[in-house]
Amino acid sequence: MADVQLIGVSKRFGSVFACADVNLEIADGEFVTLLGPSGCGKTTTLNLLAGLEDVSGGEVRIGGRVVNELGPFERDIAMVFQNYALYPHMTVAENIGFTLRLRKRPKGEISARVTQVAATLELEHLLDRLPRELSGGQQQRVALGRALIREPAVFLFDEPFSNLDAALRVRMRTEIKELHQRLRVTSVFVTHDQEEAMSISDRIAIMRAGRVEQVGTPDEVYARPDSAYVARFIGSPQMDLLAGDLVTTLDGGMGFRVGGLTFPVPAGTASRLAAGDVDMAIRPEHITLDPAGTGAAVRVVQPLGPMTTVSVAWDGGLLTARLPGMAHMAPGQPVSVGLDPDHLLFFDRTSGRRIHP
Amino acid sequence: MGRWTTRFGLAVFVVLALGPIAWGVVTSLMPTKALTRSPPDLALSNLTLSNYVEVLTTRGNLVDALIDSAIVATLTASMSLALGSAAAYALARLRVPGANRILLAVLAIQMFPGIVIAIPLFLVYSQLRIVDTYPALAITYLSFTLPVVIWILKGFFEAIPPQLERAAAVDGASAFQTFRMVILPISLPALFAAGIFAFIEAWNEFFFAIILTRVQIKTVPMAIAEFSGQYQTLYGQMLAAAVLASIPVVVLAIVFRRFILQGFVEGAVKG
Repeated sequence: MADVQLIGVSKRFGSVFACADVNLEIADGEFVTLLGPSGCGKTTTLNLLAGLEDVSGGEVRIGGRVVNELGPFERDIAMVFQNYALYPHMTVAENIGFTLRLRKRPKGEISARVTQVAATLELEHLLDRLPRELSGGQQQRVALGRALIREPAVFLFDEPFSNLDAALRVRMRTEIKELHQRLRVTSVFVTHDQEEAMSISDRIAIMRAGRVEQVGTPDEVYARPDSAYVARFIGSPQMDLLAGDLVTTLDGGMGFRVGGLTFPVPAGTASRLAAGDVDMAIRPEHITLDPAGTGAAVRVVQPLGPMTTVSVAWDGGLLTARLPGMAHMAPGQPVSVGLDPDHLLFFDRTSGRRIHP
Repeated sequence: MGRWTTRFGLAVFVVLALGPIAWGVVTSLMPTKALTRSPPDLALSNLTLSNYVEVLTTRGNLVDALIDSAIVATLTASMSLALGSAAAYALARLRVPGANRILLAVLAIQMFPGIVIAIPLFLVYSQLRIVDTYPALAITYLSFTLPVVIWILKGFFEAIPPQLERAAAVDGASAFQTFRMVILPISLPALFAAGIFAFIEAWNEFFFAIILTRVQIKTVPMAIAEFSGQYQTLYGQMLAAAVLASIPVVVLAIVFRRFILQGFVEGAVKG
């Protein structure tokens, strides 16, 4: 068990910075996810933490100890790889026990520990099989077993579910979360799937172009994104950004005009928006569509069971709303669009940073 | 139409490839008298195993030659694999400065005509007093087996996912342990392919063998050549010896066929 600190960590490949000035503190027992699109530096950051790449600058600390110069093994970490990386010529038992064999532990101890780990992961009946005789999910569990047997201070996961089908992915998420709740080992998880990150993490670090854009709990990054980038990366369907102007409405209040529609803005918020160009955004679930009203027209309806996503357009604007249950709407149908003023988000159009009300 | 063209092409290829072998086998089963007649008398009634009996008994040196060849070829194959696998792994995976230039140099060396190095090698070996020894031949053969072995194995190693080595590093394996316990065991097909290639090359080599040996060592190709004398050539016995000499190689190729194909294909097609 250990805390992890990345202090001003950077990695350069030639003249390209794969990650630059990454600062991240992970508490003992915490589950933190590095989230971002491919090429954002999240896997490089994980490799720097694992000791599989050398840092170009900054400091990596595990359990308070600077580990910059230590190899992966001395850092007391265990890692689960994207393609499982099981040794194809070894049985499940040999794969799991390999690290103990390298440490020259007695045969009896190795087999006892392997059996114990296999029981935790329900792999007992597969111990004599070769990796190629296993399903994707079973291979993934063997990879987990290989990490578990180490009893490491930190678990590192490099997109471990990306090769699994959707249903299995959701099940493995539950398993990993359960495992973490039971063992409470500090874990760092890398993924490009925002839903996966939201569902398993204590905190999420969203990365962009080699830097950490925002670190926060799933709740924070969802409800209070620091930037338009984070706002759009988190949440499904994706949040729409509306370009418009701040105007005074007929009743003397403030409003945000997007093309032909004007949405009321709370006075307190409006006072912060006076300077510069701003974009407005809102989560799809805070949009209401009234079939009795007019002003916009339904474009696409996508029923998903527990909810329906409905895209609406009007002269100069486009929004996607998320309505509960099966909303019975038809393309072309006129509706009026209502936005919950308490959940409006505003972003500086130039910097992309959120303007805090 | 296209199918028949293909079949015809394949038939021509098969005849060209197997024709000389069939002719050699038939010749080895005929008495010299029948062969030297013009035209040769290939009647089935002439078939005899006397050439085989002759080369294996009275001219006992063929058995010695088979043993010498086996030793030289085994030595060549094992040295090629030991040196070639380590070199190929380094070139495929480790950060070796100028790796590409080294690979091209390795290939260029293989293109040297043997005659250019034969005399200098003989002089060097004389100084070292290793002319007419097994190592002298095996070391010389490395000059043309090693480049090919390195290229075959490098292609294979490059196709192994790097995550395997990373996993081994996390598990606590040193670079050498990773090579020995993870990379080599999964590279067996390629190692077989490369090893058998080196074995066959050494087994068939004639030119260096005749220059770098005197009396102690006589490999199979040299023994076969001796059937061609100043006044007559014993075609039947010569080809009986050739057929016997090809048996070990053919058996090796058949037994490890699956491995050889897999090794060459995976070495050729990356990923």
